[in-house]
Amino acid sequence: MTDSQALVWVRTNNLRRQRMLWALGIGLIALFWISLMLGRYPTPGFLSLERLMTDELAERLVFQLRLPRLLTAMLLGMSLSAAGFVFQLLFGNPLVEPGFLGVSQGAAFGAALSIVFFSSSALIVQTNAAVFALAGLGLSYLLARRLRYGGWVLRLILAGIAISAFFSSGVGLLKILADPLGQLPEITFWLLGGLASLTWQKFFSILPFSLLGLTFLLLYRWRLNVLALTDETAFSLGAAPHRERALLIVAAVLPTAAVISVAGMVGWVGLIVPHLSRRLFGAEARFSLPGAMLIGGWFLLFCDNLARTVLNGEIPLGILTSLIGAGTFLVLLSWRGKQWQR
Amino acid sequence: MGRFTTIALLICYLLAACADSAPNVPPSPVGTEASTPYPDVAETQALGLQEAAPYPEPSFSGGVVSIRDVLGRDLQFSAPPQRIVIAGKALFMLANAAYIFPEAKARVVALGQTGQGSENFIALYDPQYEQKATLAGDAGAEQIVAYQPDLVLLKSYLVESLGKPIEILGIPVVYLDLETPEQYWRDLTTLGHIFGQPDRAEQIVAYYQKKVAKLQQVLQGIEKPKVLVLQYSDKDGKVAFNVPPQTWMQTIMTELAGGEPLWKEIELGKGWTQVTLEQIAAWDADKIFVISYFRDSREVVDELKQDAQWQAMRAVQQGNLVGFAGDLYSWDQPDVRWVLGLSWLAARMHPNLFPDYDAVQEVTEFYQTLYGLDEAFVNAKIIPTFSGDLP
Repeated sequence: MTDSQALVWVRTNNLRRQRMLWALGIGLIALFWISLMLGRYPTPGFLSLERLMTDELAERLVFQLRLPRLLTAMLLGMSLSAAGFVFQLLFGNPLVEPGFLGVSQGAAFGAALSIVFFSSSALIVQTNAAVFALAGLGLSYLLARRLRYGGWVLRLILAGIAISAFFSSGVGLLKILADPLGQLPEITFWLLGGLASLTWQKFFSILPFSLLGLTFLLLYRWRLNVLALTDETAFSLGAAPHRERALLIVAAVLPTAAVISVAGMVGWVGLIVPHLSRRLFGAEARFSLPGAMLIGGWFLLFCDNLARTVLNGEIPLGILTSLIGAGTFLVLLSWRGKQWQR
Repeated sequence: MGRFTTIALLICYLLAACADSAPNVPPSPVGTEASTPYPDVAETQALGLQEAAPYPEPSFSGGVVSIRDVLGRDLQFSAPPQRIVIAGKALFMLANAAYIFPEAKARVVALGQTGQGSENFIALYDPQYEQKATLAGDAGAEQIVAYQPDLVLLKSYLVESLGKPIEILGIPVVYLDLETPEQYWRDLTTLGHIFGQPDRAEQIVAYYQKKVAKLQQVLQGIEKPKVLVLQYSDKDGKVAFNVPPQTWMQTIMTELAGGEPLWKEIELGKGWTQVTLEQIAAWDADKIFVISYFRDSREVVDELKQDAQWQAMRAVQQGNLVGFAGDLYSWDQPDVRWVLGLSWLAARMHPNLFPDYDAVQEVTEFYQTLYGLDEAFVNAKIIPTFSGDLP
């Protein structure tokens, strides 16, 4: 292949990926509007526009409950997917996810601590969860610096596992101390994840953090490809690998902590979606990071639609994402297996 | 890079500060002035019970009903609610209390699981039960609003997770506790006003108070036996014994029935605390009562009596290992039947003081008073479900 042929191939390929991104984006908007009209009121299924215009309860349901919930579901999917993508790339490990580095378990511990000892007030639980999620990251970082074994990535992974285990045992202890009538169901629901209690207030409280983190990651995605290389190579290409990676990790954890604080533990999204995105858009972060965010939005909207419409009770979101995520993971593995055979 | 980060963080904090910190719930309507607290404080103290939280009697004025719920909020209703949904987990206690008012049969349109194990009183009592929607324990606002309620009844611990999203939709929510005798008296009064039957509520509360007062009168100045109330669990094939916390109905009932709850010294958490057989033996209780929610406690006690370790305990040797009584539901719980459990417990602890105790008569009176059920119904549907140490 000559240089000009290669250039044409790259341009064509980029154009194809851009179109796919547009298609995903437009599809996400369409899914969002479909989701807005989908629910259990007045009967399971779609709400007609006529009813929406004439029924005050339907109007309140759509604009006061479903709208903030669906927007949060999209933010949740985008944040977890983006964070998972960044972590997998920076740590060179396809099995890491946003809860890595003590973030998820830290948030769970913070929320449970608040529910048992302080207050079940949404704002306090949410703040505590976010603070402990960031504390999980901070502690993992500090512990990794003190470890005297292996390279930086390995030390960070080990520190993350240790800090997660520490918070995990704390959650176990808090569950023993919790009042089984009020506090324990609340902790359990939080651990399983869900958006049932989402309000505009909660949405607006996480929006700035999510937007800030996601915007930063999107703007910085060009550097991700460089920072995924070894320190020496990244440095030779003009990057300050340690500082920039730390900044990207914080930018990935910030929206994660924010969304976890209102939605609880929602697993598998940050693990599976980046893989799916890389299958569709290739390894280059310029396309695959926004791709992961859009697919994450799709995935969470779809799961949340199931969570609130299938049964006459709320199915915990974490259960659905795990179920569908694990199924997708198996399909991905077998898909990849076929490639290897070729 | 550093400048960008600083600016970004500043924007982030500014945006966060803009988020409305006030709950996004329509303001509760202001009701009428509080008047007489109920139940009577002096009477409560005389019965040796804790004083209930200050609580005004709901008032009627100009066809408007004003009700203050357990959160201290005044809710106004221009007409009695006609489409009531009772939601939440383990809500049989709430449903059984609501159904004391016969209007519930017509006005409750959806409710969660009202059974415990295979038994379900509401299904027996309400002929329209099959037509009513059954909600899952974790039904959210989206699922509840589908039944277009004009009132939702919830336990107070659900205020954040479920109550607020429902209230955002403009649907009134009344929160109830129903966990202690005092809360029962207060919350039954609230339910009476919701169903437009304040007199009936007063009559039922008087029935409960009379029962408690009568027991207290007999039990004055008696020597208290050392009592252990254990909840038996064989979940996942693992046998465990648990003791209740100090604030729960089981502990309150033990004290009201004239017993000394031995487990008060070891409370670890706010729920059932698992105890070892060694600890049970060390307590050396005079009387041991065994609760079982999913098996007949009589069978459980029979099994324990065959166990060599249990045979070595003084209470077992003296024939004082007893299965806690129950019918469709175990009587130890903060269900409306707690008053049956209290009378039974006092009679078992002090057989000499209550020689005329007749469980069948107590049960018949209870179902007649609370649900207007006749003796034939009780004989056919209730007495065959007796469990524990009952005839």
